[in-house]
Amino acid sequence: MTASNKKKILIVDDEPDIVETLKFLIESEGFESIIALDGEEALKKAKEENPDIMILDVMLPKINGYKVCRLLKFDSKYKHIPILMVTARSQEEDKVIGEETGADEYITKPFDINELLEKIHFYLQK
Amino acid sequence: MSKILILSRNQDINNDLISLLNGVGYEAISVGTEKEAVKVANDFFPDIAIIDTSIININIVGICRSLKLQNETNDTQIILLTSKDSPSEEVLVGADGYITKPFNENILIATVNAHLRIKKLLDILYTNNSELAKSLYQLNVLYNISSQLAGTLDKAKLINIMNTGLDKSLNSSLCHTLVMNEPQDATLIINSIYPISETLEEALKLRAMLSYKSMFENNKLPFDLSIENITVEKHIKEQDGLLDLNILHWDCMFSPISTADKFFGTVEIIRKNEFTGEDSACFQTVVKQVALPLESALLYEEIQKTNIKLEKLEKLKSEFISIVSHELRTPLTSIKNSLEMMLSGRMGEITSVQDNFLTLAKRNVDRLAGIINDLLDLSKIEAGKMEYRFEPLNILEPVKFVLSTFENLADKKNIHLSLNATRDEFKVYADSNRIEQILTNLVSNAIKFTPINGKVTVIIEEIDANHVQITVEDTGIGIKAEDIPKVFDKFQQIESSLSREVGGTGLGLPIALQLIEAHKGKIWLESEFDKGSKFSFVIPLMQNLSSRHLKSVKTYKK
Repeated sequence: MTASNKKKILIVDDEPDIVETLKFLIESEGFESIIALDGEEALKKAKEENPDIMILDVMLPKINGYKVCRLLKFDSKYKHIPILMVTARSQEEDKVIGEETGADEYITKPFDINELLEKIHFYLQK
Repeated sequence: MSKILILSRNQDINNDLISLLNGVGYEAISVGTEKEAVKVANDFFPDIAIIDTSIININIVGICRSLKLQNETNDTQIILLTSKDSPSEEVLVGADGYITKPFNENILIATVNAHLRIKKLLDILYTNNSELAKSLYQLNVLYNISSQLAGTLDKAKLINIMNTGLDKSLNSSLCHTLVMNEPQDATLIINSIYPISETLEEALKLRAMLSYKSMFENNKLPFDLSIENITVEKHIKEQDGLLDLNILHWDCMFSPISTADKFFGTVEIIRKNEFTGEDSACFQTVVKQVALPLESALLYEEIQKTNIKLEKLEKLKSEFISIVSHELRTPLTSIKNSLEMMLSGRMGEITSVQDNFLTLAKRNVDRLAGIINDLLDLSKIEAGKMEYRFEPLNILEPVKFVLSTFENLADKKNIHLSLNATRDEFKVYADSNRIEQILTNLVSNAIKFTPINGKVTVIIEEIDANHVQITVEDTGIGIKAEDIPKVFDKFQQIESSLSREVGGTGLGLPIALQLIEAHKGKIWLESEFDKGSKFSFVIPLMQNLSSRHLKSVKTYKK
């Protein structure tokens, strides 16, 4: 646990450019950002850091976002973490979209930063 | 020359009869015993056998039966030379005529002549009968073949039916069919009664090849074929025999298998007995009958190949669109977010000119994102993969929501945007997201193509007990009558300076059309050039949807 009482947001995406813009946005809103670049790292950081919210891309190396989401949402220790799932609506994503993942929100790329911020605030207040 | 066999132990009678019969121009020979008679008759094929019944211990019934049962003599006329003391019971069995001894020479000759006539008539009858039976059989086979040929479009099966048919109707010893497969490759199918020698096999290959080439003489061959590229396929009926080169001296019939414009191969049948004119007609008929279905089979094959290709292309296309749209979304996200963050002032103050251009860039990024969405939607609809979440809803809700999103845009152009509903609720069974999508397309077009200070009105009304109609009417540039049928086609945007100015993919209306059809509705357009356009669509009202329809529309969970 860090000493500060800043809200922690875990950003998971394998696109460094997206990570960078999201990191800037999150930090400029006064939150603390944690970064993970693949599914494995995302799981590890989610468990270690216990973030207040997670922005999770679907297509990820090692473990895909749906799986990461399911693993966390079916674990009573972590299922409280709100997950905003970011999809690019690719064919592979469409195939698994029917599966129950337990994500709290789905956001389609390219998303609007104001909408994203609205959703973050909404889940942080919950 | 008529042939007569005489059986008597009395040499005088033998001699008398021979000289008598020779005298009237018949060939006669005599034998002394029954055994000899049967044996000689087998080679001699007598038309008439005269049997002297005065021979001691002769078994008249036995000898008659032996002659009648023997294939070669089964229609030989048997005349018994009887005397008053011949045992009457025996002589009445098996013979065809009788002469009493001592015989009158004239009566004997007259009797022989009469029986020769009978024999001749019997022969004719027999020949006619067997020809009739053969024709009937061939006809039957032909009928069978034609019905079998009609039942398949498989090339190998068709050739097989032809070969079986030829074998059945013409009883050949060997039939070989050269079937062209690919441009330089052919199969020689040999159907043979007995196994064939290696030299015969080689000879048949060469023969088929030469026959094929000689058919086209100086013209270009439909298939370039060399003997190494002929594969042999043998079907042997019986094992206890062998066919060798000798059969090439037998009678044969040859024909190409072709229609007026397609060549499939050649066929030749070989047998020891000569073929008759009827056989030849039968052969030609069978071969001609197979050519036409072979042509159909070829076309069918081509159609199938094309279909598979088309399916692959179609799949490739939708995969391509899916991948491309995914690959485009990711970089767009970074661009859009960067622009938005600069515009938001999080990165420091920006000048109004900077704001202006950043807004311009962002607007175009949004447009690009819209195009990608449209492309993806259309490709999904076309592939039948669009998912709908149908539910009972008041169609006014999505309509009101869409209009609210356009308020700003309409205000900017000072366009009067209004809703005109005849009731507070129109219950439909629909996917509200898709209804929003349809209306967004129609309203954004209306605003786009309406000059400043114009009017865009959305009218919702019940047109009959079963349907609700939604009309989006504008006072815009309108569409020329000749262009109206084109507006729902893909990538069709009517050429005008304004359309270039406002841009767009030309996909909005085809998508709207497909989405409305998925809701069991219809869309149409009325427009007057320079006055305005009126897009209307109807969809069924809820209370009139049968419960069966409700069940048949699947709901999907996201």
